[in-house]
Amino acid sequence: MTSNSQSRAKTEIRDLIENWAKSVRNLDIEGAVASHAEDMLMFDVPPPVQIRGIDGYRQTWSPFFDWLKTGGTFEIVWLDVTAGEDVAYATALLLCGKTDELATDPEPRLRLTVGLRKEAGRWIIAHEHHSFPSNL
Amino acid sequence: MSSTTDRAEIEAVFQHLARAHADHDADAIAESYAPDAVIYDLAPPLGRRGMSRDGVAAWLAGWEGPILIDARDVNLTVDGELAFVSAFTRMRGRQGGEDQVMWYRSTICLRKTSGRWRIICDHASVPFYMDGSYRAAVDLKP
Repeated sequence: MTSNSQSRAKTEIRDLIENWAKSVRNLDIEGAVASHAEDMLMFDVPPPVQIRGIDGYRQTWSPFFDWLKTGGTFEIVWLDVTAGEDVAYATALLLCGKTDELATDPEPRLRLTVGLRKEAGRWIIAHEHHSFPSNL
Repeated sequence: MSSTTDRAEIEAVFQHLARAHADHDADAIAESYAPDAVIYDLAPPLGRRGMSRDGVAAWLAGWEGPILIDARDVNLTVDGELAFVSAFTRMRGRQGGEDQVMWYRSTICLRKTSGRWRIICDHASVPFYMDGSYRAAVDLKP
């Protein structure tokens, strides 16, 4: 893979993820699911332990959008993309909380890891893992 | 390089890691990771870079006897130089005289450099009950 094509892939994926986060903030469900594989696998913050398929993924956003409407923040503060020929991964830290919670603790809290594959010349998200660290 | 070879090589990394946990081999665990690997562990901090040999040794010392790691629902996506894996990982062992069993979700990304696959991101988590309690859902099994 040339450094040019790698740099282009990284830019495409960075834009894809920034646009996805913007769609979430805009409560735009079609935008939030636009770049995902039909057979995607999600590990979300709330149970269940996994969500398989785009329909289940779509449904996870409804309660989250309700939460955002009450003053929630969902903002990428750090994003790192590593791209291969047909497989890529991205990792990010996000501010995810209510205004009053972020006033007390302004540090990012949400970890995000995204696995992508290239199909028909287009990057799509095959896997998302969202989590908080936990004091077990 | 065929995808079959890549898959076999990545599988060998995980077998190597499992054996290293069983043997309490901190060097072998640390060397499976790239020096700047992104680590999102079950417990805080939020994230860190690199798997330090001394940190691993200190963690291993908290366990009595072998730490057994296996995985199910392993899903591997790979091209010639980059791969990501999702799985449910089970960790078993003894701590403080008690048997421990724990399930968690794993997303592990690997990159091949100088002919060798190493982990560049290791994300482990359990779900959280978002009912106001923010309790870690350690009771859920896949």
